[in-house]
Amino acid sequence: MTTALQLRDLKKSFGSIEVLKGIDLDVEEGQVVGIIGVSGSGKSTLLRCIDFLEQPDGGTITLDDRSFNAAKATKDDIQYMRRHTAMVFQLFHLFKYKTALENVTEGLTTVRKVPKAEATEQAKELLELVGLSDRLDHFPNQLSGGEQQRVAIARSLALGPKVILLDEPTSALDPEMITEVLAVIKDLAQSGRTMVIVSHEMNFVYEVADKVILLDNGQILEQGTPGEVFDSPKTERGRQFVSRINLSANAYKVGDFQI
Amino acid sequence: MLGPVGAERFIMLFDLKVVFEKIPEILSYLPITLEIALIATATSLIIGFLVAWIKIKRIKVLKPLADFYVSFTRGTPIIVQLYTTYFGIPFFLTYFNDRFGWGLNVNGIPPIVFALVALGLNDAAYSSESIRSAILSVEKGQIEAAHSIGMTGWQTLRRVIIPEAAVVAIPNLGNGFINMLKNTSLVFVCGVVEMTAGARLIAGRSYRYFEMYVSLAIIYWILTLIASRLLVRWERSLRRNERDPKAATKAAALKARRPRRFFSIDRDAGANPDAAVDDAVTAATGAPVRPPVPPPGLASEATEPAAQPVATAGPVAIAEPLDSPPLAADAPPLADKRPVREEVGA
Repeated sequence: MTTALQLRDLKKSFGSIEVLKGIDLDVEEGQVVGIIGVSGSGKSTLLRCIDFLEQPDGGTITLDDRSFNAAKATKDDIQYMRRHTAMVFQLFHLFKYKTALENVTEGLTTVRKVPKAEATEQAKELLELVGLSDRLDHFPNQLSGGEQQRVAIARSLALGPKVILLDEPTSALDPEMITEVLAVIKDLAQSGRTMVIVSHEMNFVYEVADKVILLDNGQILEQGTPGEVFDSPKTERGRQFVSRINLSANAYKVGDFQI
Repeated sequence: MLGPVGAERFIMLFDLKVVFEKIPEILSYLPITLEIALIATATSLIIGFLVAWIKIKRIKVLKPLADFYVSFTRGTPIIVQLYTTYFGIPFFLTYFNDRFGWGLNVNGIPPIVFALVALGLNDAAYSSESIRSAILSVEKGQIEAAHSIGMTGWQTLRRVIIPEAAVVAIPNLGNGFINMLKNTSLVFVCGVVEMTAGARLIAGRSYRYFEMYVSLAIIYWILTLIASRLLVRWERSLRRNERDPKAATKAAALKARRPRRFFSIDRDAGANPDAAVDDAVTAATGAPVRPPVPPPGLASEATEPAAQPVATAGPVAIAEPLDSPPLAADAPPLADKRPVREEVGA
C-alpha cells in the first residue's frame, strides 16, 4: 500500500489557544480513517487544515508525491491540496442558487474546464451513485437534509479527489436521514475510496474505518484498528472516552437502507 | 380681474388636451434620459463595487479615502455635486494644461460627461453600501465550499459571491436606479438637454408650463413603474431556487413559444419618440451648449461663486430663460412669471 496523505507535526493555534499540537497522520490509499474525540479536541480543525480552509501554523503535508511546509504553503500548494482533496461539510454548504446537477457540474466546468455536456453526463452518473437521479433539477432548499448531504458527497466526488474529507457529515441530520447518508459513505468505502471521516457515529466508525484516531486536546491519544481503540484503549483518558460510548445502544442499521 | 370661474376658464388656465398632445414630443428626449441613467448606473455599479471591496478587505490608505468619499457624497446635495463637477472638471483640466503643458481641450468636453460623472459618483456612494452589505450577507460556508472544490478567489467571486450577493442587492440597487431616473431631471444645470430640459423648451414656445410639467410627471411616473416592474422580474429570475422544480421545464417551454408581453409594451413606447422628433428643438438645443453670459434667475445665482476659475463656463446651457419652479432658488422668479398665464388667457 502506498501512502496517499501524510501529515507531520501539523500545528494550528487560534490566538493563544493551541488547537493542534503537532499531529502525525498517515492515510494509506484506499484506507478509511475515522477521527473521534470530544468536542473541541481539534477534529474539525485538523480536516480544515488539510483543505486549507484554515491556515496551519506549522508542519509538513505530503499528498501523493508532493510535499511542502504547511506554514509556508504557496498559492500553488493550497490549490493543489484543494483540487486533490474534497470536503463534505456538516452543514452541506450546497450552492444555494444552483440545482443538484449544477452543484455537481460546477467544479468540473469552472475548475477543470470540462465541456458542459460531458460534465453533465458525469454529474448524472454521480447523482445516480448517491441515489438522486430523480432530484437533478431540485434546488438545495427543495431537498431534505439527507438528500442535500448526498448531493454534497456527489459534488465532492466530481473532481476525482485522492482523499475525501468528511467533517461530521451526519451531525446536522435527523436520525432517519443519517442512515441514508451513512449508507452512501459505506458504499464509497467499499469501492476503495480514500477517506478521512470526523464523526460522532461510533458504530459507523467502528464498522467502516480501517484505522481510528482518538484526538484529545489537540493531540493523538490513541490510534489503531477500531478493535484496538474501542475495545482495548491503552491510555486512561482513552478508557474514559470509550466507556462513555455504548456501542450497540444507538446503532443505526446501515444495512437496511437501500439506494 | 378674475373672470368667469367655470369650465372655460379652467381650460384657459389648464388644458388637459395639451398635456397628452405634447407627450410624444417630450418623449423624443427620452433616449437621452435613459442613456444618462443607464450609463451613470453602470458607472455607479463599478465604482460602488470597488469601494465596497476596499471597505470589506480594509485595504490600507484606500479605506479611509473610501469612507470619506461615501460620507462626503451622502452628505451633500446632488445639485451641488452637479455644479462642482461642472466647474471642477474644467478647472482641473485648465490647471493641468497650465502646469504640465497638456493640450487638453477644456471647452470641448461634451456636457453629458459632467452629468455622467456627477450622477455616477453620487449613486456609487449609495450603491457601494448596498453592495457591501450584500457581499457580507453571503454565507461563509458557500465560499468555503467553493474553495474546497478548488475554485480560485476570482472564480469564487464570479460564480458564487456575485450571483448570491446580487439577489440581496437588487432591491436596493433598483431603488437607486429609480432615483437615478428622477435625478437625471437635474442635469440641465450641466447643460444637458434631457426630458425635463426638453419639456421646458417645448413649454417656452407655447407658454404651457403647467401642462408640460404635468406631462413630465406622468412620463416619469410611468417610467419608474416600468423600471420597478422589470426589477422585480429580474430579482425573481435570480431567485431561481424558489421555483417549482417540476414546473421549471414546463415554464421554459412556454417562455420559448409566447412572446414576452412586457417587452412588447416597452417597444411600442420606444417607437413613438422617433416619429415625433422636432427638428427645431434639436437645432435649438444643439447650438449654445455654454452661453458666455449666463441667463438670469437660477443661472446668475449659481454662477457667481464659481465664475472665477472657468471664465467661459455658465451653468446653464439651455438657450431659453430658465423660468420654471423645480428649485427653491427659483422661487422669486416664479412670481414674476405668473402674468404669463394672463397672456395666455388674454
